[in-house]
Amino acid sequence: MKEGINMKKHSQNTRYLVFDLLSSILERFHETGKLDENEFIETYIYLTSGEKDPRNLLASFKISHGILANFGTKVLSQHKEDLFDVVFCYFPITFEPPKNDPYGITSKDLKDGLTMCIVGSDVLASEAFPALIEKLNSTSPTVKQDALTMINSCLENYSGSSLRSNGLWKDIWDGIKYEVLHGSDEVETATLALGALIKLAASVAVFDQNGLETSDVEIVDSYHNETVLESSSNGNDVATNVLNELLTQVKNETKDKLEEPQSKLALPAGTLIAGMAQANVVAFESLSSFAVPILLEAVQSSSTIDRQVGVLTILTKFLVSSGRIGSKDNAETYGNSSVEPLLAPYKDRIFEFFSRSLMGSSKSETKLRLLAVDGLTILAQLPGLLASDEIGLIIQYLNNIVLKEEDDELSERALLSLVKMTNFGKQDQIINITFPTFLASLPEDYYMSAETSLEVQKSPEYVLSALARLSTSRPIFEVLSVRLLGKLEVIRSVKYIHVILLTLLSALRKLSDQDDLSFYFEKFVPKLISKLVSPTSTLKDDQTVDTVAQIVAYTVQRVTATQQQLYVNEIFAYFNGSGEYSTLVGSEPVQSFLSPEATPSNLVSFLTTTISPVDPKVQLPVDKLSLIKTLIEVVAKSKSVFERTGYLRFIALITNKYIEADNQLKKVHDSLLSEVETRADVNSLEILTWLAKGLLLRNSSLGYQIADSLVNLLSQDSLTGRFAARLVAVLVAHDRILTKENKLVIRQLYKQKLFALILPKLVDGFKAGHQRVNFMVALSGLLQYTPSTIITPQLSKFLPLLLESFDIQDTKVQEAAINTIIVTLHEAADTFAHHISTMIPKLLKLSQDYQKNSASVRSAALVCLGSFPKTISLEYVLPYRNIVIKGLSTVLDDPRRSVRADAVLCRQSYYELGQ
Amino acid sequence: MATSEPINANPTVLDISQLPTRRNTAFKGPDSLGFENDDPAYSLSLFRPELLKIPDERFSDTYSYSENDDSKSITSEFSEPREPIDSQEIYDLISTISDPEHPLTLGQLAVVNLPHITVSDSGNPYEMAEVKVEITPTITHCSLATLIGLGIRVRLERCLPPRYRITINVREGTHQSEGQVNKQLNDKERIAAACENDQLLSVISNMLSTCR
Repeated sequence: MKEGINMKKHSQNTRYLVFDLLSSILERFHETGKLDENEFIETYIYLTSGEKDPRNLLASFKISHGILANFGTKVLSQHKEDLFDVVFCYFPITFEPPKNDPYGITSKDLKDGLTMCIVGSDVLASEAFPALIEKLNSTSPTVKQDALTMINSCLENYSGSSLRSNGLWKDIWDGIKYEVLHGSDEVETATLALGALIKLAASVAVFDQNGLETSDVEIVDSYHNETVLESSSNGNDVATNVLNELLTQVKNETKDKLEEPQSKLALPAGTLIAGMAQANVVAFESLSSFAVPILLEAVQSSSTIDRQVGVLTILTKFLVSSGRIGSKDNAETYGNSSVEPLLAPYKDRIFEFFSRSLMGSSKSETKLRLLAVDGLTILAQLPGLLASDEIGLIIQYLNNIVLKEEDDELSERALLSLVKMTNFGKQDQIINITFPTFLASLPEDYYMSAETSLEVQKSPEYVLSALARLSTSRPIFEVLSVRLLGKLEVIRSVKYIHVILLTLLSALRKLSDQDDLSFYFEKFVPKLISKLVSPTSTLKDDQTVDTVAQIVAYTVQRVTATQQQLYVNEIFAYFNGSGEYSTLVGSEPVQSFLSPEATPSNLVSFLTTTISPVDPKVQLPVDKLSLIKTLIEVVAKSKSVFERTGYLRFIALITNKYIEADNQLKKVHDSLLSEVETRADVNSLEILTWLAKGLLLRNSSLGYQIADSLVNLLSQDSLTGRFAARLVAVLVAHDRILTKENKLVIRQLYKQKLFALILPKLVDGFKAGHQRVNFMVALSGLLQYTPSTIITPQLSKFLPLLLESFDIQDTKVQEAAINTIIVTLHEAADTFAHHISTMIPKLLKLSQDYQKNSASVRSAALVCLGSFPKTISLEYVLPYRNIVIKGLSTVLDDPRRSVRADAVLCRQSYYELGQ
Repeated sequence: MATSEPINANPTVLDISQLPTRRNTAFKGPDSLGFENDDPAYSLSLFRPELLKIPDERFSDTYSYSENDDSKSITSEFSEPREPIDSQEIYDLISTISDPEHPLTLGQLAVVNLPHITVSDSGNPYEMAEVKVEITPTITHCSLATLIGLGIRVRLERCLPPRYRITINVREGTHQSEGQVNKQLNDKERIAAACENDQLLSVISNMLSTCR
């Protein structure tokens, strides 16, 4: 048909057309049966030979796959050699797509196309495996891994019979086993090889009714002459025999190594035999009944630590394999409980050995004990294997380690195991066994914990955090809440109370999004609040109030709008002192917190935090504007940072969320500003800033107006100027209450707009020369909280200013300046390259002087210096190589270890420069 | 070197978790979620005690601003005790160097061991100090012992202040030609000569590239 075409003469596009035509012919004529398969194959092979273009290859692979998947076995086996060679000659694919490749063909596309062909028909099995196994001799790990990946695909696709015929399985086994047994350096290679062997074992055991069974030697001829279809029973026998033969090979190969479990070769052998056991139930029974007794015997006869480690590791691999089979086959095989679970005959000895390794070994054998923890955890997970009292015993062991073990890693691992157990149905046992033990180990109050004990006693903080981590579901959380709230009743120590509340908060936050928190809102929140507001409250200090507030706020956020409305009404009734009975608080309100005459209280911070997350639909039962006025009155009387923040955030919250028109705030603004201007009142200045913060978040013009006033104050040589400089950062800093999650109105662009407004004023003000420090402080505050994407485009405008700020003796300013460079360096490397002659000496100086500069500044300077070689082009940095290396030699003697470590890293990157 | 057969094809390898580290044993308690001082709302407040000295109740007209609010932290920094360079720090510097023929570190191969490092340092930046490292080759006829030793020396010379004198020896009884190797490792002129050999230097650079 096409013998006349000489493909090599034609361009790539023409050749593509030929492939296109071939594929159309294949598609159209094959179905109708009019195609001469023999001739088509010959033509295809002729045409595709020597093809090199990736796009054409993909097309060619597709045709090849069409042939292999659809043509008759007889024709295919006649041509199998050619069909294989014409495709396999491209293996391994090392193609790398050129830049701007118009067809967007990747190396993966080609690999997939090639694989698709090779696995396309069983017929190729006898060709593919020898060729692929030969590739394993390669020294390149990539080629090996590609070959193994392909072998895996082949084993997934070829039928069991094709693997059995002609003893092909044995060639595969012999060809691959060493990749596992000799513990290759590349983990990846060994894993792929093991995966292939597992598939091999699984596959040879499968007898497919329609498969070709040619158990005799003459495979090639048998395809030509007759297809031997074995009877079902006969075929099954053959499959089983082959599997058994393979398993015998595995046993012979590993036996002597397993008998010496301390040797280096034992682990790979164990990996092989335990891994292959997961192929199917027959393989597992056969391999485990062979290997497990050998292993147990090995530690019986002489039990050195090395031997125990080896045996533990391998037995654990068997456990993992049995778990994998369990999840695959259990449904059918072990659906009825009358069948014994895998490993049942050895369960007692394994359990005993693991327990002994964990609890009976010397304290210093951490590695062994870690392995035992892992092993026992997996053992407990295997369904139906251990009795419930045995699992209870494991939990007790783990409890013991968590509470008494000195080694951090070990107790951490044991705790993780317990956490895992809560996730696979051992929750009740954790509640019944672990919780009482852990809670009992907590001291009654802090002063009790000085009790002398010979055993290591973990701190209450540790035990509480362990409990919080165990609280993985609602039932456990409820138990924990009841017990901890009970504990709060009797404790007096402020620190202890606070830690318990933090534990509750972190456990609460771990509940899933699906958990309905109504139960908590109704049952626990009222208790907490009445404890908080009671006149004899033990929860009075700032941190405790804040933590209770966060617990309640988290709950309020997660209940319905109706419940939120109820909460808002009741909590305002209490804080207003309006005389109405509040069911939530459970007592008559005693005083009003929200009147102009009120004394400032840290409880207002509780109010702010807990009403912040409510839905905007929820109505506040107060007049918002007069509320703001009242808050301004009260906060003027407060000098405590925490107390004030509660009021200031409240003002910003109301301004942002509940007041829509700026002009409503006009009067408030004017009077605050005049207080600042006429009396230089710091309190008013701070209020004004927070008012602006609420406004700016929703991009309101009054907000920008206030920001502008603030910047105008900077040139004043007074306290007001210095304070205004500090407050610029407040405008942009992230606040944990004023957030989108709390349904505030937040416009994304406001930071950009503010930056564009303020930056030129700061630069000009600095250049004007009055109160330069104020402008610098304001700039550093602004930069600290502005994303680098906004800063970078403007960088050149203020870079000189930034570099001058290195000389200002203020840790915050220096850090902000250096960090600005670090975060923008990557994007603006060219801009910085021109200033490198200024930057390097300044940074070196900052890092060297440990008497003047704080450790954080020294570290930041070193990190910044060290990132130049990675970002700025070599020609600019190279001249400074020796200067930096020499300059850093004194920093290597810094009194702080962490600074020395940074200096080492930085210096190293300059040594590597230009190499 | 890379193409020939490795001298010790199958060394004993330690698990990374077994290597000595400066563990931070201080337990921090439940995730601190509470009233944090690094919350900008608090740290930026104008009413922080270090900013304001409030002599009497009528505070609004008697603020005084402490000019150098960081001066305190700097002086406390200055008086803070020096964290001396100790054997663990040296171990951290050299245990992550790669072996020239295995993709493993000297720590994993137990070529360098914490107990075989000694540091004597008065802590005074103007006095000489000394560090001694004894290496244990994986096998007694290891011809790469000199290269490994040289790698360690280069690493330490780059990472320690110039007042340190560095001595590197093969641990007694672990190498056939102990004396020869030791001589080579501590001979200034031979080291200087070795460091001018570009090919050698690039092998060493490769060994050091895994350091952190």
